[in-house]
Amino acid sequence: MKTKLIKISASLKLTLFCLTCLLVLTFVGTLDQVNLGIYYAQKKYFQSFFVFWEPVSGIKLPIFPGGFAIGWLLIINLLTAVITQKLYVPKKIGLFLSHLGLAILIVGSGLSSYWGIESQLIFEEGQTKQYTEAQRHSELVVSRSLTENEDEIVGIPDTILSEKKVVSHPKLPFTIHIDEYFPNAQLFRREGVGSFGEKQKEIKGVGGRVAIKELPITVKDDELNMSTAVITLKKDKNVLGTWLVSRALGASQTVKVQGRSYTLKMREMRYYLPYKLTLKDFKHDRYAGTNTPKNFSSLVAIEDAEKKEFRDVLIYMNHPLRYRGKTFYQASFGKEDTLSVLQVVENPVWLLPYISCGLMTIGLVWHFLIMLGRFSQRRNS
Amino acid sequence: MTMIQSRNYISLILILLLLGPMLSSCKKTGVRVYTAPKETLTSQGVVNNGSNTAQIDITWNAPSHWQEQQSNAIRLGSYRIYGLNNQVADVTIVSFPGKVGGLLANVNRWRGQLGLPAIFEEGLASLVESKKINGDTVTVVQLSSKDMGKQMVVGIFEFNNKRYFFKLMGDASVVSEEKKGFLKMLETVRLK
Repeated sequence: MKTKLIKISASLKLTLFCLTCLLVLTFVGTLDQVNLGIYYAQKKYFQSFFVFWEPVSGIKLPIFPGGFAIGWLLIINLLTAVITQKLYVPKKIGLFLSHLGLAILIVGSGLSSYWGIESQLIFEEGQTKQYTEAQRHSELVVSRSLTENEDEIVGIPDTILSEKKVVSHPKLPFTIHIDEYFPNAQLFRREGVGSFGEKQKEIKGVGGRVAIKELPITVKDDELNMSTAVITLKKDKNVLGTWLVSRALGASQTVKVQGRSYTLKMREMRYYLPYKLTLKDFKHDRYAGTNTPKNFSSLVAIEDAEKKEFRDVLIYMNHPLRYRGKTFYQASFGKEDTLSVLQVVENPVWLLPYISCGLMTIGLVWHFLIMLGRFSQRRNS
Repeated sequence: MTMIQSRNYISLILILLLLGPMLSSCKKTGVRVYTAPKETLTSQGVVNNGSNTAQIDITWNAPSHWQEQQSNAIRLGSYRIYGLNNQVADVTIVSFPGKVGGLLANVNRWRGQLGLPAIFEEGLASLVESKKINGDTVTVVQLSSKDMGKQMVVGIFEFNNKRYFFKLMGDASVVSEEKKGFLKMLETVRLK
């Protein structure tokens, strides 16, 4: 049984099956981007073990292997092939290296989807920013003033909020009870009893006069999900109050605990940078006499007191800024060419594709030379 | 140990080696604690001119839920009002000596800001209303743009040959919600 299983694992048929699945997945996934947008299409087809079909709400059936499952099968296939065909022996080292390179490439793509962080830097000309933001994710931030210029922030991501549990942290003087969480909602001003009946009366601040309409998650690339939560803060057994926090509320709300002020706000997930970036100029060049874009570029000033680096850099198509582990690509623009959007990618395993390509090249060249040597030997004899 | 057995074990070890990091990396983002610079008005794109602020010779009482913004050399006062669903409106208070181009020129300038076409003198009557507040005459102008979803209410005072403009402008829902409070604020305007 085991031998049969290993034979299947190492077979070329499995390789072909995986490659065919990848082909189908890429084709369908690309088409479905029209309905789901890039972010959710990637999640559904490529960053999943299975592609699910939901015939009835709440029932999900796996109907096709996802990107992770195919990647896994390919890795198992490659490694068992290396072992069963003894590709590790010195005379087959070229093939071994090229297989290893391919395995590293697949593992690397899987790891980068787990560990990689993608966010955006959105700034107008003349604006300085010290953080990037992931608009697809939300976090509930509880901040308190630390010094004259700095706040200490405790950020609770939407993944935790959606579990509707009790959140406690040594940095918080209270526990946060997530009573309700809506990944997307619309708020309405409403007098009297709102959407939570009697409980609505207990909600402090603006939330007491607001009704919530839950909305399905929007997958469109140009629309945002207005994450909303109703939270109750408790200190020991005392209830401090109930608040409504939402990305649809622009202002933050304040709660006082033991004479100290804390502000509550639901906002997009932010990643702070240890340096500042200022957009000095954004250019949108067009071909003469037409509206066809020729070039987009952002002139950005880096202000890094920690590394004592103060310089300007021009970011344009295929010329990203790579700085302190992050890569800033020119992604979009707006506000009549005065606003620039940079896609920011932090990928700790960014080197793996280069290593993999290097190994595959060396392996294939090596194998070619061995084969060439054998061929010429045979010819001479 | 036979050859096949050794193969099995090697495969198993390799698969487990791969499975380990893959599964351990499948973790959710936890609670994060970090320090961040305070969000100042300058970081939101509002020009902070420090001590270079205008000479304020009037007083007013704004509703407490309006968030005060940094005033500057031109603005005597500035507020931001947050509504629901990220809708906002701004209140600005400025003063200029003289007639500042006249009412029609100003109304047309504001109409331009809302994407509305300019009007002639006879069109003013439907947009402008004169009110008596504490013995002073206030000219109130109300504009609305359905296309842009914006509204504007402006109150104009005249004290000592100077015009004082109180302007509420922003998303239609916020402006209509706050109009009552804005007009109440106009009733509190006094010369120092």
